[in-house]
Amino acid sequence: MLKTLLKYEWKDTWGLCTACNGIALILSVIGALMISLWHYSDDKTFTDTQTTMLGVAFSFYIIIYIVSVFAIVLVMKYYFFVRYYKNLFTDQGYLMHTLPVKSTDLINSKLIIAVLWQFITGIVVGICIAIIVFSFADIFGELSIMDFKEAFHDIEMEFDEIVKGIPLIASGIISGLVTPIFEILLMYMAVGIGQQSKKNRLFLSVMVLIGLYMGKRFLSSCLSVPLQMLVINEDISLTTVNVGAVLVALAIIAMTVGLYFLNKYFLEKKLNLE
Amino acid sequence: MEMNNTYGQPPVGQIPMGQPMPGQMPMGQPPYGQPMPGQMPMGQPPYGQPMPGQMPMGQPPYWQPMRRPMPQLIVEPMPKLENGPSLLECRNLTKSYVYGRNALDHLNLTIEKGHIVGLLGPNGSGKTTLIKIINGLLVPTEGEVLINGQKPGAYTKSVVSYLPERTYLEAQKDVKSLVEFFADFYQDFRKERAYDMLQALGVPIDARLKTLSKGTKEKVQLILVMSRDAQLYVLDEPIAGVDPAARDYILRTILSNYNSEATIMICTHLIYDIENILDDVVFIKNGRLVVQSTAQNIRNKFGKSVDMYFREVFAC
Repeated sequence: MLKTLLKYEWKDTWGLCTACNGIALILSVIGALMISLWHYSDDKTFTDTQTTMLGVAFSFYIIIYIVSVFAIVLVMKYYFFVRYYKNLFTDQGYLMHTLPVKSTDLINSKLIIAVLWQFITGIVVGICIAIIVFSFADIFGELSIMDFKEAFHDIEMEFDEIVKGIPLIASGIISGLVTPIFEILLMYMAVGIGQQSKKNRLFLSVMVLIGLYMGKRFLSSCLSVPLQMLVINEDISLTTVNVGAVLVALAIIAMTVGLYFLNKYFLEKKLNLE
Repeated sequence: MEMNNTYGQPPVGQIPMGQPMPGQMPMGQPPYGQPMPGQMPMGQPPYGQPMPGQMPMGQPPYWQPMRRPMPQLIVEPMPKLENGPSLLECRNLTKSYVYGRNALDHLNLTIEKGHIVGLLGPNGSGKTTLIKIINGLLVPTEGEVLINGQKPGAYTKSVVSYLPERTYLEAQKDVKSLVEFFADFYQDFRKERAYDMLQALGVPIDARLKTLSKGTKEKVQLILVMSRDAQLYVLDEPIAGVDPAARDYILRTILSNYNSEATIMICTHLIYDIENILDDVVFIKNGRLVVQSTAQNIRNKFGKSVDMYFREVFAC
């Protein structure tokens, strides 16, 4: 049944998520074209006034572009938050919770698709940034494919050093992969807590989410300060840094697993459909 | 019960829609509005006049509350068709809300297979809470509910077909995709039956749910629920939002689309409209079981219809 749930979850979310990512890509392409046009204006084809106007339009566009990309990322997050709430804790919940599936299947299907879209959005945002960066590089001539080749060459030269830092790198990668899952589960838990109220459940869920985010920020600051002090301190060995990074990754994994079971608990024991 | 591909033609051996089930009172006979045998005619005596044996209005004066004793507990266990666990069993079922009184108060109830049961009670008596617990939408505070001996979960949801009292389908989806959705999730869903009923009611299958009227939405929901070969159908106010003509169709749909070994539990306030299809009645008051009996026993024992008896038991 998980497969069937995944199929419907993908079908239902495909439209809006594709549109959001498509808009981000289109905005990036328009931005790249504007940068090229600005670059072209240096060839004295345009008058000074036209160049100034192009400069103003370009600056204005870049601001809009950055805000839009941030907005799209936020809309995507909020969309999955509201979808979880609407689908499982409003009238639609009467259908979803009477399907012959386990409560873990309901969480898993929503989590997998939401995380998948977070990764897709991450890749799209990366592509958008690359488009803009390469457009700038074209103007200033400061970045070329050769720069990347040289960078990779440097990495090869320091391979021995990198081997020693594998736990640090692996912990970083694992944390990077688990963090989106953690954030989605945090949103789901805010919904689970919010629906315990009799009224204004969505509003309360948002408030709980803000509180949880603040708590998360505080906790991550508490964890990152000692880690940064370790990195800054030159006397500290790489082994100590590795151990610190592995501990942080383990803490993130443990909190993610904990959140998963809390969400399961809310669906199985604290379901409170009006 | 499979339907032939030809629209409107039931397969051999199946009761055509609109025809009564064996041993059941024909629908529409006596026509609606006419009294059933042993039933008090509607409208006689006129409203405002006391019923025979009833205290006339105004005596004692309306400002003095009439003390009505709690009705005598009548529980007649249903006969079992076969050995094994009962279809539905509620043991000491209690549900209390943090912000209110007990919606269910140590309720004990057993329902067997092959019955049409009316779950009746005034507003706030705990009917909907009970239905939600049966369907796993609420968790009881105390006690347990068992369906075929199992607690609500993936298995029980595969044998219970539930119609809530609200529109619970996504408004953006079209009727056809909703049929496909049900067919994908419920193994006992019969697509042909659903399409036959949708065509009989003239529901456009390509229309999005949000473009349909409230009554049509309710018909779509009922068709989806009754197109399953479930063991227990739980229908919460199935006829509340539709016109009287559609009520006839809905009741016929309910009667002609369920397996005779299955049980239908209907929760409604419109007792008069459904009482001639009920085998059994369950009255709930303040979260407690007050009456569980066959409809015929109530008529025989008290000489009045279930509707009239309900009014007497729950008179304000």
